[in-house]
Amino acid sequence: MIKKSILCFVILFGLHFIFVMRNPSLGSATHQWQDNIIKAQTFLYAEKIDTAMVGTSLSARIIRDSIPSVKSVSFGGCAVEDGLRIISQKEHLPKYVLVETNLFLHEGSEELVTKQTRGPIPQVRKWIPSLREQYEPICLLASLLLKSGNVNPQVGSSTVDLNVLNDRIEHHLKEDKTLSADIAAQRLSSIKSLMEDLETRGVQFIFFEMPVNDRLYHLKRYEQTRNILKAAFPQDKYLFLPSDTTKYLTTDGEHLDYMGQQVFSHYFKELLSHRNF
Amino acid sequence: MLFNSWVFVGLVIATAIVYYLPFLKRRQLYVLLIASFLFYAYDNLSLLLLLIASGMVNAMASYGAMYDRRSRLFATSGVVVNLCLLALFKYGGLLSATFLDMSSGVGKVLCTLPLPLGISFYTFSGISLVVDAYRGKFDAASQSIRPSFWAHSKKTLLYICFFPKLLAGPIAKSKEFFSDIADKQFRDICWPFVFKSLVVGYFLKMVVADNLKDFTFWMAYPYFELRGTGSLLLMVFGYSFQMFADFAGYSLIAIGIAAIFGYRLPTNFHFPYIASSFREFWKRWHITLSQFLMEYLYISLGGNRKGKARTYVNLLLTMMLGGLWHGAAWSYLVWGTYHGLCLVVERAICGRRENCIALGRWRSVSHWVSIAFVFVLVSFGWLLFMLPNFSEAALYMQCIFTNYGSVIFIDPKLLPIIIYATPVVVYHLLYYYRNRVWVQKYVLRFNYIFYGIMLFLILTNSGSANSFVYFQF
Repeated sequence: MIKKSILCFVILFGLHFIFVMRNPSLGSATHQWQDNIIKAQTFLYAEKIDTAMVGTSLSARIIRDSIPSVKSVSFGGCAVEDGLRIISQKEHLPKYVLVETNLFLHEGSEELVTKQTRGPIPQVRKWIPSLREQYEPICLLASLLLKSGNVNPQVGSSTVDLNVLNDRIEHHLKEDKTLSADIAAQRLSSIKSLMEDLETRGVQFIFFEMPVNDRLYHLKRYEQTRNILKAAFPQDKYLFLPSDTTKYLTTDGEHLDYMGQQVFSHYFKELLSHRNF
Repeated sequence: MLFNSWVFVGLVIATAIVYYLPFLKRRQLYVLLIASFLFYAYDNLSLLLLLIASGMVNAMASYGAMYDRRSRLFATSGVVVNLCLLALFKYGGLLSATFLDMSSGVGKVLCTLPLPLGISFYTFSGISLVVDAYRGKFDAASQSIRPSFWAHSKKTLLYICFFPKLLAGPIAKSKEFFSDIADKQFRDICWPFVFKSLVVGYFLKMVVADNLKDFTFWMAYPYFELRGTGSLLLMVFGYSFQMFADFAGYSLIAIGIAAIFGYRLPTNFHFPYIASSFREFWKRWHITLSQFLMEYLYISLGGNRKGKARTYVNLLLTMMLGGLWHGAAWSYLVWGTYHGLCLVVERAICGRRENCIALGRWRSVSHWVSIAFVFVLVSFGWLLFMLPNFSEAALYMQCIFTNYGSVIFIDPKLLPIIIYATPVVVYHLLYYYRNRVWVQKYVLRFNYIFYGIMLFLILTNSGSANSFVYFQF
């Protein structure tokens, strides 16, 4: 029984391997964490990348197809620091890294980075692509279903529940707190040391801010982050892309709805093309 | 150390190699003890001392309970020490938060005590050992020839600390475990049993439970407020399957690993979601805990021997304490009370019959209705595990009734819950119909295909590793 089971396993694995090799573009995430892992792995195992983008769930909403030359390592539920750690693991570093500033000082998720970079498994995945998250049978199935229904996985919903939106805005206003000076300095130092290491290896950083609901634009925590960034990264040395002043509709005050994602992605694409990215 | 980590796999392989070395044949017990200590100390070295101290106290108490004139005193002391350990380390924080000032004095100390992993399991094993020793239900060999205290201590330590069952059971009976302690031979390993237990166990944990958790994550407050009724119900049932896959998977892995070392741990789950009554459910879910509560609590309280009213009170009390055993939060007490009330109502209506609403020629249909009814009520009970804050659980229930038309009924992104729950449903159905000719002929005969598929999915479709839900208990 054991031998027959193992034989079945080998046959299935072989078929899966062949299928993946013949259809490398297939595979869609079924939830946010999986999407993060797929992004991280796609970035780590890609040959050469010119421009990368790091950030949080805010910039993760930029439609990837609209700026194909930029590889996103903005992770939902994670932080700028996680993206930087993923980038620092790469042998061939990108020339430019776009850095989202809104939640710049958020603490990272060690789990995401260590699981993709430490131990022998990431090396095995490099040589056996069928072990990557993107090619999980459920992701392949999801991808095939979307393809057969002619559905773009990046298309989201533009339905915004205004009651929920107002609740969330009030919540943000009520819970608006700045980080203590010690913690902010500690977070900045941790991220800055990562950035400096990458700079010594030839990477250039460009900062950008994602639009949020105009009532939230001047939140204390946002202002604190802006001031810290201005002091730590002088504008004569670093490029800060101009903020988009369009009034966007968001689902919760911070995250763009699908319509907003499309408009902002277009704006962002134009902004980058003027600077030859 | 997680069962689904490479470190654990390394520990098992290294231990198995050393364990079966011919020149260490007489030292197998020591090899298992060292491996168990390493396993436990990996997460917190200092708490290993507490585990060893607990083992030694139980060795003394059980030895005294068996061979000393003051056996009652030894047995009582042993049980009291175990309960004090549990009360101090597990419920200290809860008691402090409820009754004391957490910012100073004893209240502050109690809040800062760490929760030792598996304390509920190893203290219950200790109680089982001491009570069995006192009642004379113990290892026959030990009773006929009095062993030295050292020999008894070694066996007791292994019984308490044996690493496959240390953190989350199954709670083995001392009598069975002690009689199983002997020199083991490599050739005696039942490999098909090991293989089946490990493959099904890892599949349930890594493919079903670890994937479902990424979807049931949205049951957390405040995310669930934004979901429609269909999504909320889907997540409740998904969480129910996740709970089963997580804990049954853990138990099967423990049973498989123990079998590599020649030990047979008791079955802990026996297809609980085909239970057609709550009584049957508790005979199939976490069987070793149910048996423990039945033997050492329910029967000690008088069981069903003192009239109907006392039977109901005993049932309710047993389930309330069983609920509180699961976690140091009042919501677990509510969960236990909920199950206790279900058992009491069922007993009042149906007596001791398993299928309460068997109706003549509609028997089969009514049986399935009963199964569905029990499953639905059990699933809603798990809500208190996901949302231990009682007000959040109540709000979740409220949202089920109010979010009917305001948002998308079922979010399509949650549909993979159905895909991941399907193996658990198939697992139960195959058992339910195991005697049908078509199942025998076309399914069970080719069971190796299922094992091959499970192996393939373990390798290619595992979710992100997460600790076992029951570790916290």
